[in-house]
Amino acid sequence: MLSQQLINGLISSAAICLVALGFALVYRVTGLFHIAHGALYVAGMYVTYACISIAGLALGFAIMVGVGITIALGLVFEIGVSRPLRRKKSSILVIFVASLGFYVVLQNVISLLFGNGTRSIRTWSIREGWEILGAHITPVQVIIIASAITLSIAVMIFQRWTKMGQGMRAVASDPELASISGLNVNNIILLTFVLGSALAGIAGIVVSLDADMTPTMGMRALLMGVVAVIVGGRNSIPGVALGALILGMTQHLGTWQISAKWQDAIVFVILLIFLLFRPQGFFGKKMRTVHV
Amino acid sequence: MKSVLTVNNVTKHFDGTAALDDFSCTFESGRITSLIGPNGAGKTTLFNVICGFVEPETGEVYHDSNLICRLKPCERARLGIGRTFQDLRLIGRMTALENVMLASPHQLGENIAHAILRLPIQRAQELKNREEAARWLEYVGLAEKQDDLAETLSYGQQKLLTLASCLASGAEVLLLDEPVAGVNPELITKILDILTDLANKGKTVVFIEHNLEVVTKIAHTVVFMDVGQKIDEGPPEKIRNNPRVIEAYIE
Amino acid sequence: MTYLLHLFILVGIYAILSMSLNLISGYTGLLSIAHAGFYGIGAYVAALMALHAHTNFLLNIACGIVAAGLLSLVVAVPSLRLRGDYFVIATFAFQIIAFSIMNNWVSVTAGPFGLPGIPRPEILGFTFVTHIHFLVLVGAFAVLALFFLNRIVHSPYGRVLRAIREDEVFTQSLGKNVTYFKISVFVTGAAIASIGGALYAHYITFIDPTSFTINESIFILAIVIIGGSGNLVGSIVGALVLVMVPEFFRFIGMPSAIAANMRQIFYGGLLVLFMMFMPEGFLGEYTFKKGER
Repeated sequence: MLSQQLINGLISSAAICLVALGFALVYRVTGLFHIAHGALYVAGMYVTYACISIAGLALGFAIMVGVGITIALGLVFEIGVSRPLRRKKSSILVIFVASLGFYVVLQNVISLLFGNGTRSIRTWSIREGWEILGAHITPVQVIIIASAITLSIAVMIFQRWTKMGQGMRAVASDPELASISGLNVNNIILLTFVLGSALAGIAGIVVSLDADMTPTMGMRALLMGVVAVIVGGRNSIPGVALGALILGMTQHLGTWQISAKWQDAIVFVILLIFLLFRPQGFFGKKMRTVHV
Repeated sequence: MKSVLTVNNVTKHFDGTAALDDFSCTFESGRITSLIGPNGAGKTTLFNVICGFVEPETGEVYHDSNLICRLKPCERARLGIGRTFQDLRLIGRMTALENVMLASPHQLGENIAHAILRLPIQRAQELKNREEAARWLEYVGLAEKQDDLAETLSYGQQKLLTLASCLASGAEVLLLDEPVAGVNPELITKILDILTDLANKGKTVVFIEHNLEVVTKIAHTVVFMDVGQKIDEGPPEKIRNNPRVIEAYIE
Repeated sequence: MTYLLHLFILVGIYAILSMSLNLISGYTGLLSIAHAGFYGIGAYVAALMALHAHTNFLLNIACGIVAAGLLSLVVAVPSLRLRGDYFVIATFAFQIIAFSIMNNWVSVTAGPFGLPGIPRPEILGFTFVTHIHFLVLVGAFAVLALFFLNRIVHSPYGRVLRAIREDEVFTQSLGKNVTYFKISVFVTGAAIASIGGALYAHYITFIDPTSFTINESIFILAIVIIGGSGNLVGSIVGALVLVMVPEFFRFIGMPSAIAANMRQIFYGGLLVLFMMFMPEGFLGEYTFKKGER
């Protein structure tokens, strides 16, 4: 039914937006295509799960521990890998490959600790909910949508009106100039990774309150986030949100008529269309393809 | 002397500042033109516009009376517009000989099918390419360095190498961005002799330079640029006496 | 002993995969994490044709090559005109979606259940059955791949690839149509990878999507990087090391599932360590002093 698909589309869009936010932040400020973000997304859920089912913590505490550990893991990467490589003036491709390795290690550690089967932290909430225009929505799903909206606005405000946020924008556009103007680029990047990892953790945890978790699900979620960033333009939070909305809606309205197995092919087609006709996204600025 | 390269009313801004401001100029074959002016005057931007790396907001570029604005950089290069770069671009991890062989146009072996089949006709062409490349290296005086990695050459030798590549590409129009900057004096004379020789053979030579002595020595025409505009144009003696030029260079 | 032969057969297949990726990423500098996708396309096309059309093994390989070639164009044409980042993103997207289609198009690929019972390959009446047969078959294809790739990289075409890796702008200024080179090299690499897939399908006789995930793409990239970018022999050495060394975990008695995770932690960790301390890999990049023959 159409209204259910619309609601589902909104929920998907929110989930995509949450992953996209953290990824876009790191990508924008450091230029790094941080694949490991997909592993951080999953790490948060599993730590939360472990806190609840093994340590018996309450949900609230479990979530805090989950986000905390995700941030710690993100910092391990920044301080242990990314920063030394930057000091050596390594190209961003080298850091990217390191991020790939980090993803593989982290994802497999999670698989080792928890096995490859599905886990769930859904059991805490009863599948109650509300009916809106003939569609059903649960409280958790409302939380997902609310988180996406709140965090998007929060990140936007942070970037525009706080000193640190402005520092991040300065580093994003020209790290050398930022450094010369007296900004502590390393600290700004550190903060970027903290925020990005936190967002990854929150995204994963919130989504896993509604759906089951597997150690390898991070990649697909990351892909959706990446396409949202491409569609919206990476330097624009509203753009990323818009991209997420388009993606989420197209997937669900698309599958209303077409079978679910083509969902991802639709995503790829959207990506290709943007790459072909508007690579800077809706709100991005046109970039020269060559820097001379 | 037919005009080979014409730039008409080109304007280009970067971040609000005009790098080129309604700039027009004509470069003729068999002549050496020098572009001078303070940093940021737009000289390198002009080269980038001609070569197609930067798209101007207004204006056209003509090569042999043909409008080339729609062509990609590689297509313009194939028309015979050759270029060296201010930051000395070359392939450091290839030998000097490979660098020059790379520049040779119309190589059959650059087609992947030919690369795999390696027919006699392609092998012969590659051999001929190698001989010609060795000759170009000899012409610029780098014969003994031909099997050395380009990144191991001295700064001046690298400048000679980029010149050799430019020549090997068969370019009739040579846009040289500071061809003698940072080069020691004996090499400078050699490079200037080469440029004069090229112009005498009918090539169009345009070079960006800061050293007025060098300019006076070999340039037929000097174009003085500032803030993206053509301030003055003429033979070296005339430009030397322009008060604005004196001011810019004595400062 | 059979197990050792099995390992060497895998080394052969991974050598084909890594040499072809080396052409794209090592020699030309186009980082791609889509290679397992093309590996998978080769495997699935070969398997489906063998199972449903009972066609000849060589024809299956040819069809796999065509399929991989066409799909690689779909990735390459829109993204190779753009800045470097976007190409990696496109390869990432392609990889995730290729896996997703293998996993979800149940009517054709049987999804997670996989395709069992793939017949043994037959060439001119001879059926390849034993491990020794396969070692020879895979070895022959690996040698063939090495031969072709060697020709490509030691040619004027290969010279332009190396130039593109170092300085694309400069290469354009010499009149080279850089986009043609990037697209043709990507298609060639994808096509050769599909051969590895076809060989794998006929050897293991059962394929499922879990062999063609993004982790697999990263594994193949790890072989290229650790063995040495821009060095075909390095890719063979890398394949040997990365296939054989993790067997240590099985050797000391770890259960299979755990050994599988440990193997991935091994190459993932190696990747990070190499990036930090030895980004040029074991054999590094050969710079040939004498140019092409």
